[in-house]
Amino acid sequence: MCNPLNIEDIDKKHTISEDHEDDIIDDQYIDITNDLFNSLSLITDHQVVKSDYFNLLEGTRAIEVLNPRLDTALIKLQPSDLSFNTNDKQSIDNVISIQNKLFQLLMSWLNNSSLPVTVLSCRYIQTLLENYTFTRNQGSKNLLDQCSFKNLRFFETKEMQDKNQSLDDDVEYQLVHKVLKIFSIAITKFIGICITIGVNVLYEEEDINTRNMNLDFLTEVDEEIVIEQIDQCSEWILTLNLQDKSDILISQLNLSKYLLKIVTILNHKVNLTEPTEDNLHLVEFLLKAKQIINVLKVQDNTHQPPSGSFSTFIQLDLDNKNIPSEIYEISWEDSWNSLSRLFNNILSYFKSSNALTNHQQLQNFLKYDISYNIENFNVMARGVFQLYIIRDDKSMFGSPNVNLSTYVIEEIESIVGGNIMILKSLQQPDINKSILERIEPLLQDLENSGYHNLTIYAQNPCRQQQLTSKALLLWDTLQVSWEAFEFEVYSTFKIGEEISEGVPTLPISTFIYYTKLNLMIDLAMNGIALDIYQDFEIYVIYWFSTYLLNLLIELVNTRLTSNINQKITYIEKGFPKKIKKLKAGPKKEQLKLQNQINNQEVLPKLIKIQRFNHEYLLNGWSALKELLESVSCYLIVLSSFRLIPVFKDELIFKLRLKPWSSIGVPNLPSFAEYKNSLKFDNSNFDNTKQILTQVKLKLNNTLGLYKQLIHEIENNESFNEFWVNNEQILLWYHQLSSTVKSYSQELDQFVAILNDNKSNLNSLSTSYKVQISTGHHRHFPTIKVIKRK
Amino acid sequence: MSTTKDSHSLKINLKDSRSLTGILTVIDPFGNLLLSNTYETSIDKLNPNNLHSREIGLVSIPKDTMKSITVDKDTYKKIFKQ
Repeated sequence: MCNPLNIEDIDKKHTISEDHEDDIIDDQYIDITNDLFNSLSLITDHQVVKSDYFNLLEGTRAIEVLNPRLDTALIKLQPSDLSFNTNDKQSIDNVISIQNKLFQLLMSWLNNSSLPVTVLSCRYIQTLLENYTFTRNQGSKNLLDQCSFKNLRFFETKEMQDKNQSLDDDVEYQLVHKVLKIFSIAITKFIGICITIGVNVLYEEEDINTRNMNLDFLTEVDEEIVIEQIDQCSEWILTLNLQDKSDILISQLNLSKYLLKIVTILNHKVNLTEPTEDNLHLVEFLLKAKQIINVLKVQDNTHQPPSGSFSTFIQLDLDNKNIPSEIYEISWEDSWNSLSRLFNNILSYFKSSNALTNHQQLQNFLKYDISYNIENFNVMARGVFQLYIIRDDKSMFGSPNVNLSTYVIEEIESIVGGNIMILKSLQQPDINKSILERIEPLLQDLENSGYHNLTIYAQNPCRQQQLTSKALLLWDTLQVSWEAFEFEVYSTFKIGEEISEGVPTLPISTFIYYTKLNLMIDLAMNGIALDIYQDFEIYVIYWFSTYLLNLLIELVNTRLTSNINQKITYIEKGFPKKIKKLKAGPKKEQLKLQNQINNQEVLPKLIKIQRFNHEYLLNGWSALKELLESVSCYLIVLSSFRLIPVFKDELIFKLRLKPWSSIGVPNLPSFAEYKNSLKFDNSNFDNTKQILTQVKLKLNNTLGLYKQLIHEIENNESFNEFWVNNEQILLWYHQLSSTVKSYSQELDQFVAILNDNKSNLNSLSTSYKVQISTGHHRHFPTIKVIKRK
Repeated sequence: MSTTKDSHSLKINLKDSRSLTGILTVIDPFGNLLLSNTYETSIDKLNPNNLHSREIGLVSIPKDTMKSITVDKDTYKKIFKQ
């Protein structure tokens, strides 16, 4: 295809014969077939003529008519698909199986499929939604009337109409028009809720597919009305003599009701400063839902829904811009497990969030229970979590005490300690106006970046990576602006803490740097979990992560520790001295009161931060550093035998570290440093063995560190103030511990291979190769030397 | 049938008795067309006495699938009498 012409130009150029009367095919339309095709002769050089407003690339997604693979109108249907009438009565077994199938297809949709090939393949849902759209526009108010199962398009003889009218008292007819109808309404309404959540906080196509065939999923219907109707229907079922089958029907209805109740957790307010007690009754329905699922899961599912009740009919019948697709259905077991997981996930974070009392717990909850565990979350549980954590009024978990602004301040104080002078100065009536004017937008930027970080945790792992990358830019910009501001305020107004005489601490910049380093490490290491690195890039990532980890350890060990120690010393010694020096009077009394607050509130928090940093964080990081160094060394030795490639090209180095290259502080390490780290001479066998022995010792040491940490997490009761639930944290460290053991074994095997091939080490790579596969921990794959076949 | 500011709406009768109405967007030298914002009208599968219409978006129509191409009178005037 060459340069496209403008389609309107062709119309103008073409002169048509005067007499077109023969072309008129009816009163409204005129046949231009010949004129149009004759005009093609005006197109030269095989050009394509197109509208100015159309991008030819878009043309690739056009659906070719009369092509059976692309044209939905050519979908072949069974006679039963066309004759299936949603108005007909159905046996109780049919109704149960239809409802089961709808649960199955609902979870199939939430398993990354689309509505037309899942729930909308149900003729009842299609008819209900078509009628809802039609009758709503006609002004009908009654929900059950709006959602009729009577297909208005269906051709009905007088005889058929009379027959249907006489069925009003028929139980099987009522099972369809009472039970199945309200059940279908509940499922449809839940889909509507999911679509709304999906559009707002999830990603189209990658998390959820909200393609709705231009149908309105009962958006204007209040779920409370549906719940009320379900309860009435359940009562009606109890009046029938259906034996044990009434239990199944009621269970199905209740489960659909509990789906609708999920959003009620968004009205619950979590305290966040003390455990929110007696709240489990609010989510009792989540527990009940799990119980119902356990019952429904083991029911006999051999009875199939009536023929034609589920089909591809909707794809050729309603608005559809897609190609034909088969109905997508996950297995019976998977669908119940998935549904159970949805309720379980929500129950789990509801319970944990209600037990939160401090910032360390919140951070660990977000990191381990949510972010690192996100692959075990049902997509709707993730969506609801986003809305649960940050509410419309910007409060955190609906807490009356914590909103986004206070959350960010608390986060800062949880890292660098409270009583930050620059923030305290904001409460002074005589604060300098120029400080006030400048600090407000800076605090707003800080809040925005804090908000951005909060949106990362419940996203899918790929989005987490992308949002973390974006966060780096935000926090780097923050550091530049805050550092300049804090330094200026310190030099001009002498406001701010000091490390030593004349050297400011810059607490907020320190917090920003701390956050940024953590994000940088996350971005590097999570890439391993996402398998985005080539084998030859793994070394540079571990090497770079070690570099960042060293900086983080140094930051906490030096700047943060001395800053918090100073604050502790001041509260314990400096402040009481200051009070002593004052004469009795109101000021002294005021300071005494402050001293009391310092000792009762500020000091315990500072001590807690020190303990958290030194007893937990630094120990975990030290172990991780040892592990990274061991694996890096192992990789260098493997690469020296050409068993695993490690690049030595500066361009690849720059390309690989590009996501971090725009960061001002810390600087990227240089290529020379990287190249230097690779230096290893394997010509001396004993030397190589000695190096590997050292790596083995380092791994043993790492294992000891992890064992100690696990022991502390499991047994040290005072650690409980750092998290509300240690299950995921323990899993994390157990996996790391298993990783160390696994590397240790792989190292032994490699040493054995070296011993066996002592005389032929130069050609080791011709007989052996490295196999990289999923390991025990998301950040550490198994690196095994195996014999070539 | 309406005509947008710069584009013309065509009604194409297909050989399988369906008709497609949409905005002519692309035409190649062989007479194959792309229509955007297309609506398909066919005999209602649930009631053969009625016609049924639905939106199918951007479609590619090979020349050999077309039976005839028509435009409404207003569009016709705009195209041919200017």
